[in-house]
Amino acid sequence: MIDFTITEEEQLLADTARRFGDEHLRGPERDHEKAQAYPPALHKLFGEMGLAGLNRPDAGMDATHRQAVWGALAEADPSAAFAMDPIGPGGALIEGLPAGIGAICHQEKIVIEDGKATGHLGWVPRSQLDWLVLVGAAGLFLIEAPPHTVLDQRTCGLHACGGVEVHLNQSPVQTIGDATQAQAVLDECRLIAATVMVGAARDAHNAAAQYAQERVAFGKPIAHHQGLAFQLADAATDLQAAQLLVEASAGSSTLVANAHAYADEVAHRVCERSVQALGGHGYLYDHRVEKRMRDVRAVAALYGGSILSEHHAATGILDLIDPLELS
Amino acid sequence: MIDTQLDAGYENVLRMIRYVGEHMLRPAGLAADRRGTPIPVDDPMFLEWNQTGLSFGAVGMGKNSQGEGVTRINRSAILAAEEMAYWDQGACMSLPGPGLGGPPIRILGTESQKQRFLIDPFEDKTKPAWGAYATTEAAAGSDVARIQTTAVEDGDHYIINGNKMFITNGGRASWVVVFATVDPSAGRAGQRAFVVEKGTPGFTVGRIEKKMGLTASETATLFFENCRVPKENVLGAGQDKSGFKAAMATFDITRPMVAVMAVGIGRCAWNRAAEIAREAFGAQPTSPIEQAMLQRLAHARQRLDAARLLCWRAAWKMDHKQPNTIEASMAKVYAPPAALNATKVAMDVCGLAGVRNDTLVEKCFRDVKVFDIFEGTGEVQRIVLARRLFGYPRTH
Repeated sequence: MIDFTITEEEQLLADTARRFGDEHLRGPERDHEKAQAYPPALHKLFGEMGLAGLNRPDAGMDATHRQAVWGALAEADPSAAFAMDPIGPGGALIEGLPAGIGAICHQEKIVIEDGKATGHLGWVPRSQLDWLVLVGAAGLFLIEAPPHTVLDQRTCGLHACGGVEVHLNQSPVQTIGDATQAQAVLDECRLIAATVMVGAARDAHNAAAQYAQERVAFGKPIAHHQGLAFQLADAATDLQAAQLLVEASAGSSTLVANAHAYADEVAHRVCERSVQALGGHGYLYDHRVEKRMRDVRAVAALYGGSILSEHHAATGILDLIDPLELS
Repeated sequence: MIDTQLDAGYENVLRMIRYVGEHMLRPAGLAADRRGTPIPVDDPMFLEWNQTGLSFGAVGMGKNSQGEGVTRINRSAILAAEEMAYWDQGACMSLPGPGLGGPPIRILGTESQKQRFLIDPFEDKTKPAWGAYATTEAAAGSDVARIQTTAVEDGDHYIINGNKMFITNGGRASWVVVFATVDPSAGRAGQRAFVVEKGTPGFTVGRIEKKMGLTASETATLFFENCRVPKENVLGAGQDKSGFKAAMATFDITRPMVAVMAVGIGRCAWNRAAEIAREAFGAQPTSPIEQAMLQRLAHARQRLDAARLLCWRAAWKMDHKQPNTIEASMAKVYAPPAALNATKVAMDVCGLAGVRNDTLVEKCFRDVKVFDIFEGTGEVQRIVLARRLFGYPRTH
């Protein structure tokens, strides 16, 4: 059945997250960025609105619910989609995770041999780490109390998440899932990252569209000059295309990888064009478009990054079965 | 949550179209392309098509059914449109039936006109018949308000003078819906639609165009010189502008249909390229060039999949009686470039052989370009979107 209906639950969750974002994240966004953290009271409020624990396996939410919340939250502040939950994307598919604040990351170049992990993660968007799950081709690996230090420099974006780097030297690991489970977790992480990128870019586009209808040049709003009007129209179309591709990709790792790569491409282009639409103002901290552009770059680096997604998509592309290819 | 699974009803539509496509459309389209001329009027394929009992008006164009609940007709139509284009869009456009002339008669016509133009000419299945739709002129394409063809009232007739261009099936049609202006100073408000029947004195067919692609489909130039058309052939006579607006609203149906046809052509080329890649190196490329080819195919597929979803969403909204002008234009602006890119990548994968006229991907490449031009160019779609979304002014 070809159906694009948004369920009442999905709508309710998205509306709640959007309301939280509009009321509590947008205004102090720069303060949170500067502090590299959200105040504890905000986390408490998030829980009181019924949004905490969404990434827990027992939350009773499915992937579309999580996408609805994190996508809506990303419009107000992309960092919140990663920092407002102690588990983070991917956790809903892993049973028995330890308490405390953790992160789920791609294995990257970390070597795991004989139950020990050695290697380095240059940036994890957390201010502290009680545990770390590495998602690799061979399975899921849990490291409790991973050695880490708070980053002594700022990152491109997602500042409000904080930032640590992880140094593993023969750190003990537990295998908590096989390759199939690891792929499912990677798919979920990529879907949420893609949703966040599209949500952030949508907000940048909305800001640019509003500005372009108010800012006057050569006697008319700049949105009424065809050069910019067409760019804005293309941005709206590309965002819709990326959103649909992400939503429709669940269930196929190849499609998810392809959608993730496309979401990165579209989100970056839309954010960059949004900064351009505001001219010099777009480059200033006075407007949120420059932050969306930086945040999207940071999100794109997570979970192996979009180059790895492109590689995975290419590897599986010849095995894809088109929905119109009947059995 | 998006559901893109096809149920048995949709699969049946596809199976039916697949049979027609494989056995009739693809062979006829390839033959026409190699010959360099449209499928002739007496081609046996048209009789075979008539015998299938299918009607392009039903399966290919969708319907803006008023006053009903949720339907599936636009989603079924959009699946059928993609599948037919997959096999051969030029041959598909050449099929007998009212064509694009159907919607304005359905929306604006009286019961008598519907009987005369939509039913009577098509009743005898042993005699294929066509209708056509004529708006475009040499100097007025996207800007419909600029058309120069005039209609002057003269007793119980109108006298039409002017030329029309790019008219699909215009040379073989039993009748043509012609848009002309009764008041050039009034722009669109002064335009009326007339059904001009074949053989009407003053109505002649000019040249049949030679085109880059879609060769199987006939594209004609039409001339109207003091062509007297009876008043009973005027569509929407006595109606206010809402009738004309309703006719224009057919774009909300046809634009996603046309967009998804481009997806069908792109998919055809993409599938052929994937087949060649599989034969050449399987799923495990060994060289950087092979890896690069797969990445190009993945990129092309990404955009084709997104294009199809935009088209499906526009059709789904129409089936749910929701306004879909924005979605229809998004589909139309996005899909043709995505499909053109797929055909280009497919040619790249085929290498030197991909350039030859006897490879399917080369034909797809030529066929698909026009989809960014007709039914409102990509630029027109961007204007529609900018007006709806950002208050872009109607006039400058």
